[in-house]
Amino acid sequence: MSLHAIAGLAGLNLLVLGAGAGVLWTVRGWASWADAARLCGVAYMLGLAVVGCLLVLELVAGIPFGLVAILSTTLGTALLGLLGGWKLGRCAPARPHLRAAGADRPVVVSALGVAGAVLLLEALFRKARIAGLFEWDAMAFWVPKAKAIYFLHGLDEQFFTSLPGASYPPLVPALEASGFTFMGADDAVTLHLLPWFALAGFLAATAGLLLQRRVSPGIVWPCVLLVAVTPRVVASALDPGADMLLDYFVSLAALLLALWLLERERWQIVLAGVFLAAAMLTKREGALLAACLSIAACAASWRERRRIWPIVAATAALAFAVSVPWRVWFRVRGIGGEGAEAGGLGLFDHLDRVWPSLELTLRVAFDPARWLVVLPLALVAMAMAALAGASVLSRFAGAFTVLAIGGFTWVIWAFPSIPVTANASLNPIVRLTGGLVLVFAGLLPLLLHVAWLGRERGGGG
Amino acid sequence: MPVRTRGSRTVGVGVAACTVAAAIVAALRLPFAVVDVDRDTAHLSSLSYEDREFAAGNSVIPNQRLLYEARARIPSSGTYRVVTGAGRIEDASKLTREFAATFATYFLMPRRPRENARWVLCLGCDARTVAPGTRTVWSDGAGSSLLETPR
Repeated sequence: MSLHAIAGLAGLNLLVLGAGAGVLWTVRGWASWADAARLCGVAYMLGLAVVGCLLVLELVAGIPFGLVAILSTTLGTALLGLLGGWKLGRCAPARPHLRAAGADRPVVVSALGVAGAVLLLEALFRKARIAGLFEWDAMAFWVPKAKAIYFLHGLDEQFFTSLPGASYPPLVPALEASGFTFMGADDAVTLHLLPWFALAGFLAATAGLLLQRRVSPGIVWPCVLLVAVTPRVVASALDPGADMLLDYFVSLAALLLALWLLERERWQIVLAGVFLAAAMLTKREGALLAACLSIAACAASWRERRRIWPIVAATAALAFAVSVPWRVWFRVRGIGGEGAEAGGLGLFDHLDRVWPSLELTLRVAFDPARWLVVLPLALVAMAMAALAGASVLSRFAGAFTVLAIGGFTWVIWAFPSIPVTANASLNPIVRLTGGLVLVFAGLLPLLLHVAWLGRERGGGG
Repeated sequence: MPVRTRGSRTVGVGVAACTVAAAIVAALRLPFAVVDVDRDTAHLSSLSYEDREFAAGNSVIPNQRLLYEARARIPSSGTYRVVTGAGRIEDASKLTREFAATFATYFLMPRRPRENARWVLCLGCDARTVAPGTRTVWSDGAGSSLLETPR
């Protein structure tokens, strides 16, 4: 660890922020500098998603990886974004103005929320600076793949076909290899700051998306902090594997889909598509969670299915298309292992695993020692929203919850070699449930907000 | 809080209860989360740089020197193989024989593991049986050694 390495990582993350800000400028624009400040977390996470996807596509295309590729990807995206925004006639953000009298109470609540988040992030930063690579998957293949990209400037056939998890997409290794490039060494200790930046960006993005819709800070911050301080998030936030980043992307995609179902602003569905694409290039489970979100969006919009379903289907298909080149790359090289271990009809040979798998999924998802009370509160919030007549959002959240629990049950059921246990080193259920629980960092406050208002539309800023 | 325009009293109470519950749980948990992280940080800061760099490898590789010697001596474009044997390895764990090659792949990259590589990371193996004319480059005398086979 050195200041040079930390400065390098900070520089990389600034470039990622710039790339995301450029894309956000094109697809949405900013009403004011305050609006831009609120959405800087979104811009950063969007930058991670876009730059990550582009780097994967470049790697698959055989473009040599290195400083030039990273700089041209990030700066090129930022520049194209600025040009796109200019072409679309985006106006410069308006100057900030003084708040009206009496509007200071939300500021105090926001300050308390930000202070809580900063307290946690500061503690995690000190740990990230000196953390070792104790996570087995990260040591066995995530970071080795990143090292292979960094040292050998591409998807080296020997390493990428022989390391464990060969079919796992290389978005996280590509981002970590970018980190090594900017640190100037394969420093696996300082590398832990990369997931730290992602956590900070995720919290800022979630809060920013809700606050720009004028959801009360008094609802936003308790819910966002509740998810941030769950024992599982605190324990895994610095893991240089792909689980947390996948959960962040899925959570932001879910929030943007929910906002789009309520407000139908084009930028929301575009960003949701980008985050879904990034989720599918982050981990294989990304495809499962993206399918759950898309089906949930369709279920929530049953009354407007002729208008909504084609848009949702097209978004999901385009997001999936981004991962196709990678799928072709590993299939051409004879790498399998993507499908279920039990096969299609083979599932019925293991019917005895259905109930234990479902029971395990529910037990872990509702386990307060891992996820505090996030899901119980989410269920109450869904009921409140439904009672208040906010049927679209409550249906979307409810359908996603049911589908995700069903999907995780299927994963455990379809892999008979996996023992039915909550032991995280033997069964993926603990990390899988993150894809459900973290979604409620954004959906829980939104559900509470629409339930309080008693209407779903018209809350936008 | 936003101004309510509609909705039952039950919903209002439910929303307020959920928000307050989230705030209380988050506020109560936050100090414990920070303390947990601080405890981990204190433990990590007590480790040497080598222990941090090895991290999970400490439970696999009995002597860090073996991999540091390998990294120093094998050229970055070179190849190596990990050979484990039934011989005694001091401080070995039950993970050593099964996962030594996995950790070596991570630690020694960009050096490539290859079946007939000249450099051999020997853990409990018998140097005489690896290949005729094998030279011991480094050994800790406790089961870990770096060997070089003839070209």
